[in-house]
Amino acid sequence: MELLLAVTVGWLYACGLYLLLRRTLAQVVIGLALLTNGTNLLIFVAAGLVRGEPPLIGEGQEVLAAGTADPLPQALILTAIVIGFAIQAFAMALAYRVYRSVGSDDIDALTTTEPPPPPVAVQTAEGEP
Amino acid sequence: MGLVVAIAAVFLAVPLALLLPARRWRGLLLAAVPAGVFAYFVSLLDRAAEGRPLAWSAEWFPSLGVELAFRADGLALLFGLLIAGIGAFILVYAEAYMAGKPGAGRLEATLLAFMGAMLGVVLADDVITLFVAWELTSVTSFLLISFEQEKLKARKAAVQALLVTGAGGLALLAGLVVLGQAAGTYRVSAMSAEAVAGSSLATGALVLVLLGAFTKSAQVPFHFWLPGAMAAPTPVSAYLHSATMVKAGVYLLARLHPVLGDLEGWRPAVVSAGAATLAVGAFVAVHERDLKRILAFTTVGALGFLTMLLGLGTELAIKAAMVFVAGHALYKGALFMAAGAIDHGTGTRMVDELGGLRRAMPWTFAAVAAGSIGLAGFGPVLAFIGKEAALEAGLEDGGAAGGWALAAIVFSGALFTAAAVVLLRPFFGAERAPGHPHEGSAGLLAGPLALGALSFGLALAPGVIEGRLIAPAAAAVAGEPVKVSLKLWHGFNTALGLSALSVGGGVLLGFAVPRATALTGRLMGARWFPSGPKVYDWLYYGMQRLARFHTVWMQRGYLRGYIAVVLLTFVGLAWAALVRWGGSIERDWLTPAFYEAAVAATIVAGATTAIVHMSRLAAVTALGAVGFGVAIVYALFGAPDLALTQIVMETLTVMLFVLVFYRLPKLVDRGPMRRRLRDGAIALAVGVTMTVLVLASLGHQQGQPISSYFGETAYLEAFGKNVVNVILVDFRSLDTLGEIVVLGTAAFGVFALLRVRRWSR
Repeated sequence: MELLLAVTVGWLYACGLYLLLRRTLAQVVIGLALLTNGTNLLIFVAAGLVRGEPPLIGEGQEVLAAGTADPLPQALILTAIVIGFAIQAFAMALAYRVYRSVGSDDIDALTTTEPPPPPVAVQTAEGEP
Repeated sequence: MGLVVAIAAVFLAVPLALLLPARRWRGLLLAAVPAGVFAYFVSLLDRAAEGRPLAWSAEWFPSLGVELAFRADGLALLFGLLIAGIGAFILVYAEAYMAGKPGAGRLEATLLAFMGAMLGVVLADDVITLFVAWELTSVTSFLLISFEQEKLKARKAAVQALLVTGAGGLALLAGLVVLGQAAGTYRVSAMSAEAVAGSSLATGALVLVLLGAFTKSAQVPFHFWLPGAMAAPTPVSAYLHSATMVKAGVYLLARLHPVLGDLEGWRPAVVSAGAATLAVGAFVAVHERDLKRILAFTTVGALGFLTMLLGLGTELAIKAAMVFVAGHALYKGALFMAAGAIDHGTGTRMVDELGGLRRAMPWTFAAVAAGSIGLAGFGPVLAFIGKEAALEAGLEDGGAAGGWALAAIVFSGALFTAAAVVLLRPFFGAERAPGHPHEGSAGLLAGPLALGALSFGLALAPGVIEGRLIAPAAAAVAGEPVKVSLKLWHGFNTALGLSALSVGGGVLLGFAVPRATALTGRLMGARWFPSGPKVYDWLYYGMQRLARFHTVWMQRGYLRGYIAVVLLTFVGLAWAALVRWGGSIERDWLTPAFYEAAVAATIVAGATTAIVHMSRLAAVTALGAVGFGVAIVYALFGAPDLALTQIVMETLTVMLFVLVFYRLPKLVDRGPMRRRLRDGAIALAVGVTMTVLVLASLGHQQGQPISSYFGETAYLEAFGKNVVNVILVDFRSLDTLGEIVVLGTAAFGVFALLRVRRWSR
């Protein structure tokens, strides 16, 4: 099973990075999502797989029984899942904003750090174009 | 302690110079500080002569054996007296030279800072202390050369000087550390020549230290920065580039002579560098028409002369060097200050535009005459005694080095004399000057006249310094007691004959300049002639071109390009580590159940769909399949919390994707097939690497995992039975707080990105 999941991790990385190397903004964002899942799974698999023994202290016991899953990587991954979501949400909002501002979802169309100033003629009294 | 106070007093005068109003007495007041230091050094002379020099030290980096250590032996005091004594005159001169112009206070303050640093160099007994002061002189010198910062030439010259001496400084630092390692101590006075000679590091230390000394003392081929530094105001040139800073390299050679002088490479390297510098400096000097540049090149020559003598390293040569250090500082200081007075009085420094000044500027004439006799090295001046001793040292040596030294002295003696004649010519003939020539003020003349007079006085009564100053200094350089008896008149001997010969030739040459030098001047001005400034420019701009080329080549501006480089580097490094590790990844795996295999297959299929399918809906669905597949893996292998979180977050992610993708255009895979294949290959390489890394890490555990600690204490100390939850909210609750902050920040970011309207079209 480890072998199978290791290949899955590798494939998630390959697909995620392939998308990260694309020119289309949405593909990059999808790539990011795949990478997030791949990395979480990587930590999970590398810590060692234990079938069906969650790190819970049993009824009437005071310490965690031997043979249960490792709690530490799980704590790390839990944090990572949440932060990964935050990053994806931000990346998507950014992609949307870039598309709205530049008018293209081609990364190579992003050639300036600032959008050109709006033409003076269409400026209203409030300064809004 | 007194030594520290002396150095500190000079530094404390720096703010004073900035705060005092620009009055004529300010220069005098400030000069009182170095004058006091001078008097203090005089009081230390007897101790040094008796062989028990004043020393002071304090711990600095005890773990590294580095101390703040000062020691006033004969050599330190000789240089210290020159620095403080000439420094006092320079401050008075600077006040008069600036004549109330703005920035005079800044100039004097920087001069004082430089003076303090320079005293630090010569008094330091610890090589690290010495290095710090050494670098401080480079920095203050940079500030002084670029004093007229609005002039491009001054800025360029300052950068040039800083780069050359700074590069040498780096070499010196390495050299001093290596030397300290070889000697087993950073205390100069505690270093033994035997320990260094016996170390395998000796040659490295020698080469690096010599690089530092040669760059600072403007030895060929690093000499070119010194004439460039003449862009500085004249007080700076007179102080830094004649008497003090450029002599720091010579001082270093002298200081380390007892330790390094017996090494095999010392004599050939130092003598040849010195002799070449002496010849080049003297040769170029007669081709110059600007008073300050003539002086600058003769200074280069004089520094070569001193270096050469220290390279010879015989007792006589060392004595000659010590006398010449003092003699040169006196006559060259006088000449520089007088050159400034001429500039002040006539408005030019070009010798060809000047004539007959002796009537309008009699005192300046006296100073130049006194200095010129020193430059020619023929007459009752201190420099003459030094030069005669040097000739005798060359004659006595008998070896090849001595022969070369002798030839260089005779050759340059003639050219120095010619330069002296050139310097004197503006005072004779018909009166000629761009402006109305007038004599300088007392402040401008006090320094050159006093130094010129001293140059004579000490030569006529050498007994004043021979036993108290020169002998202890020479002893410090030689590393053993030296008897010194200076005499102006040695009778008619070979040395005097050689001197007379070269001076006679020089006088004739001096009258023939510039006709005699027309041809060689044209040669040196030729485009192909590899002069120092040209080579420097070539290197300087070449480096900028290289940087530009490199930047354009590396920084192409495509993020994916950088990502590809990072990924390939990672793959290379990871495989290098894996091959070196060489372990096996064969072990007992869990046998996958069919449903587990199906989940893995779902994830793989989802990811594949995401890269090949160009439909937005398909992409979102595929992403969902991957996310929920991963959640099932978590659930199957003992991580219910992760499964729950993953399901919640995945649901939100998919919803967000749907919302956003709906507003984005259709997916297109841009770029040619070739690039897609290339990117695919890179991505696949990383994927394979990751798979192998996962498998390798599974059987490779380093250290004791801390998980068991959490398992043991979760209930007993934190009263929770779900260990993962206890870690998150109790043991590592601050991390969780950080996570919440990240979420909040991202939320603000998303909000701002969606709300801001000003960017939209």
